[in-house]
Amino acid sequence: MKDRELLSFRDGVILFVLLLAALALWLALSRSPKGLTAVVELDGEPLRTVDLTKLDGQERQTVQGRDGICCVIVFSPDGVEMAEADCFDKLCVRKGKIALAGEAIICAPARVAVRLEGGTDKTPDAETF
Amino acid sequence: MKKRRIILAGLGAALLLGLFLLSSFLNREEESLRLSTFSMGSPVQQTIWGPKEALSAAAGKVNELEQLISPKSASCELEKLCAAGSNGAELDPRTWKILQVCRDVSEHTGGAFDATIAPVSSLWGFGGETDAPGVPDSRALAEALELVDYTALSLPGENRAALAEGSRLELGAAGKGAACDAVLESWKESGVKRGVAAVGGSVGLYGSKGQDKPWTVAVRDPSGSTADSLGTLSLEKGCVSTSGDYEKCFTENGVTYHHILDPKTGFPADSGLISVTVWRGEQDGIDGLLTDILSTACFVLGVEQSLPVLEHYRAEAVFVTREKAVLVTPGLEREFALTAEGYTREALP
Repeated sequence: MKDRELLSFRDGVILFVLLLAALALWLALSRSPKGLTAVVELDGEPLRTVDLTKLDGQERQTVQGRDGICCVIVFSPDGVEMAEADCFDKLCVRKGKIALAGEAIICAPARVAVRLEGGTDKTPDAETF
Repeated sequence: MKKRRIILAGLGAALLLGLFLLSSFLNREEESLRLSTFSMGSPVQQTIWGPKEALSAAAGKVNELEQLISPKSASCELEKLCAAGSNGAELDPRTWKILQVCRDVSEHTGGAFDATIAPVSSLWGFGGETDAPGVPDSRALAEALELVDYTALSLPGENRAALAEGSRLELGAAGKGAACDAVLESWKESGVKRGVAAVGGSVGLYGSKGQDKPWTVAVRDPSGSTADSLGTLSLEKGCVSTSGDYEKCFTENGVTYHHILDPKTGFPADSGLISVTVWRGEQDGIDGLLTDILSTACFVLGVEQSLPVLEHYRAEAVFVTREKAVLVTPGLEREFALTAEGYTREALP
């Protein structure tokens, strides 16, 4: 009777392919950027959370902040911006589009904030300006 | 044969599952807690790894500080000091500490930073005192400038201060940094393990980030859009503040005026700098306050005159000149990575 090998050549190939697949999956899971989420806050209280990765196109939201100041926030798959605001300094509108987790647009007079969460390890912990 | 295939497939599946679990285990991270509030005319953002109550406790401390030093507050101690005249007044230790540091920096910078600048800055209207900021009338400016003198503030004893008649104080260049210190101090009392506080553009770093990684703080690109960054500071501890000519500016008759006023001229500082970022990591409870004040003082002084001041306070800085040169003091040489295009890194004079 012929000795049966523990693994035939074909079995070895299958095992090798499985190993490669496992490695690829692990790399993909550990290195892929996590989805960006925009959190809208009014006076420090969360108002709404938007998963930007699930957006097909732009989405606008008007938030009425303190003293009746209106802020128009535009969400898109690649970031968030404050398109319009009734505040006196317009610093929030001038901020432009933010796209990295950890970044925030804040309209201090209206007390409205939009923060981005998620992202990769390369996202800074804070911003000085 | 078939049985062996099934075993093999099972082995492969187990391998996949094992790697996946290992990956999840290695990447696991304790959840952080966040809170955004508003104080000192700025957003106060806290991110902590620690008890939830620490967030509201720290926000409360910042609000208390705002009540003490904000001119909009009914219990503002700066107004109390003005009203007391030369007799002086007893102040809260927190207010007194801020005034003491302000006075000290004024002396060490020859008045490049001066908390008695209030009469001049209110004429410019950068703090919303007028409908819109504008260039003040030259006579009014000259009269207001007469009142700018840091020696008008005296600190005769512990928690006591006096202000010469007519003088007024403004702590806009100190408040956000002081608020960072208040947050970090409160976290210490609440048993927070680590965290990042941001009051406006002043940042406080508390505890070690862990996993042998430093905290990273993006520095705003002074000539880019507000979302662009000049580079990143990798830091283990301390506080960071930035002063730049891009914040609160207006254009009149083709000239752009920014909000960092030179106490000597009463006009926006013109030292050739467009941004200064200051870091200090002494962890003595005044890192935030000092970085906030020093970033303003250094912006007024320019690179060369700032160096001995920074050395005196054991602080470090990243300067950006109008010619887009980036100069970094030795203590941040390796910590600062320039990433924005169009800038060149140059050696200090």
